Amino acid sequence: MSNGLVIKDLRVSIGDKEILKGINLTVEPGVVHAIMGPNGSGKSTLAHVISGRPGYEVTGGSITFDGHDVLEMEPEERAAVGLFLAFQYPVEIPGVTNVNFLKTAVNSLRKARGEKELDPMAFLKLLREKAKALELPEDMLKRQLNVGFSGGEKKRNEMLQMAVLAPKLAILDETDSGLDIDAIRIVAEGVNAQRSPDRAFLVITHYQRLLDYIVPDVVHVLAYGKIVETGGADLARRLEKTGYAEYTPAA
Amino acid sequence: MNVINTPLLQDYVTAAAALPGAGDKRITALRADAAASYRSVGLPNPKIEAWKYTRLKDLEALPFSRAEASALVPDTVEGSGLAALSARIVLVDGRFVPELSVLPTQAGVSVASLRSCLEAGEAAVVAILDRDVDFSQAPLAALASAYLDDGAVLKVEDGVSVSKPIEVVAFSSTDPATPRIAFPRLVVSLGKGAELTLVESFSGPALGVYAVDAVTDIAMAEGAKLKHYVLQAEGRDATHVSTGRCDLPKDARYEGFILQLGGKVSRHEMRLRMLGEGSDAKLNGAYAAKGDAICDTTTQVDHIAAETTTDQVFKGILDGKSKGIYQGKVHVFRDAQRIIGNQMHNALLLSRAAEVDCKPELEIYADDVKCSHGATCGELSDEQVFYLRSRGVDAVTARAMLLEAFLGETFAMISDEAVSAAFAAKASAWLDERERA
Repeated sequence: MSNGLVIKDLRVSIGDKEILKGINLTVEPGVVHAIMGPNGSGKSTLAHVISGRPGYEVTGGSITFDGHDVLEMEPEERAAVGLFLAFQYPVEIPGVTNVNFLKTAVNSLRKARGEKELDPMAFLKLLREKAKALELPEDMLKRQLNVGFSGGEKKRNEMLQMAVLAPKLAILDETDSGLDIDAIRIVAEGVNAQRSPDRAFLVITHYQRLLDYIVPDVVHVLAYGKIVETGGADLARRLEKTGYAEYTPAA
Repeated sequence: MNVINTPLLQDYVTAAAALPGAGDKRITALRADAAASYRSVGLPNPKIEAWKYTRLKDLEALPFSRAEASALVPDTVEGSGLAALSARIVLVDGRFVPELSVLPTQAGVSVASLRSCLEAGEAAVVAILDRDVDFSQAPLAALASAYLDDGAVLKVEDGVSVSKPIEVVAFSSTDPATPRIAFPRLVVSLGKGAELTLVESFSGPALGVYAVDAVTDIAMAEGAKLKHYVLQAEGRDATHVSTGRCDLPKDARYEGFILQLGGKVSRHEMRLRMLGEGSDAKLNGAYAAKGDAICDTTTQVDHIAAETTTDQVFKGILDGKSKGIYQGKVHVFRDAQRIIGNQMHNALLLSRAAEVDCKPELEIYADDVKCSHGATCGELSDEQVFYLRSRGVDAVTARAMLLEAFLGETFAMISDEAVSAAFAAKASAWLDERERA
């Protein structure tokens, strides 16, 4: 079943506070959706809950991906069915090299899908090819995972992981935050190069700027735990001028 | 407990008369001083500052006796697993076993049994054993010296660079009838500009009570270079105490590593004395403990000469109800100007019942020094585990990767690549076993 991501009436709390108050969202295969919204609207919570990060309580609703009940799956099982989260703050892992980490990840996914593990030569070939496309220097592959990486390097490294792991749905959680315009351009080019009929994207951002480079098919506005408006790429441009003031709860 | 009444020194007068070199005044004086020191202090107890956190409960409770020459010498003894060696010296219950040893063939490198050196009254060996030692904080070193008997003596002549590592394996046996304590002793002498990579491995049966009280004396001449790697992989019920000492004259270089993975109670202590200008020492290590094991690493660095540098990094993983101890003392003498002394200890607790005690100690009497110490203690990061899992790595593998990476940073500091790989493999095996349990 390849009907993509289907979220129905999703309600999520942290402690006593309800963050997501009934989200309905469908991301079809090959389609690029963007979620915009003011700070604290629940954008990152949505990304985290889809990917299975601990610390959130789902109090209602459902998430399915290609028919799989996502909320019942471990994070690694979600990765195995093709979900990928590009972190807003990629985690530094001292003592694990980028290349070993990616090799373990690729082969874990292949094993979970009943595929043969890649031999080291085939893996390195794949890795080098993807790194080159993202203008990543080769020495970055041998360095410890994200340790001492600049903000831009960390985000590019997320894009590298996405390219190597080839998910069916990639969620980009504020990938543009903390990046200068050149870094945003490189990241966006990396994403655009990976757009394909069988790969969907959910691009989460506060600013419209990233969407100048990654032009979305659908734009949603998430405010105060609900999707309050849905439109095309022009909605993002309108928000750039008007801001999010119109969505305040008092309004 | 009145330690003087422990069986440990009860047979001493008779036993001492039968020890090698008993007719040699210097040797008998050395033993008598050590015995007197042990009698006055007794087994380690909290009154001794250096032993605040570690009690040798089995030695306190059980009637240990000195391990006699073992009739049952095993066919093989396990060490670090290193294949390419210049020599492999095997001690069983503290006794040099030539049948199991492979002696060096390189000119300028020699190995002898300590017993034969004591019987011959070899002045150079006695001089190394007789260096002024403060037994007041080291009662177990005193006990071992009181019973100074056998072990190995390793000499590297001036200017000789030993081509491959030399390993000394100290294996201890267990006797179900009576708990026994062995005193493996190693004396190392490096000539001017000599270079050696020395691996000391401690091992024993996986199960069964025994105790090891080891002492290693290292003497270096000017410009000598020593890599000194220790693997403590004793059996689960073992009590292990080891005291090492190395004096560094002018321009001597020391690189040490202490890996502790075994034993019920283990204490590895290393003392470095920076005696000559320009001497430099790095002393790093890692340890892992589970169950109710106690694992103690204690270092003491004396900066006696000016322009000497030391650097220490230790990391430990503690699971179950285990307890880890790191004590690092840096003593900077009055005239030791322009010295650098750094130390760092990081511990990872895998269970709420695990404990770590860390005591860095700086005693500085010079005014132009750079000294630092740091300590961290934490749990495995949920963030890191989730990051790996979100990429498809299962939870068990993710945790194992992070633990291996945590200790792995220390193995990267071992400059001998073969030893680095061998030690990493030992730690990895420990983690695998933990995972299966």
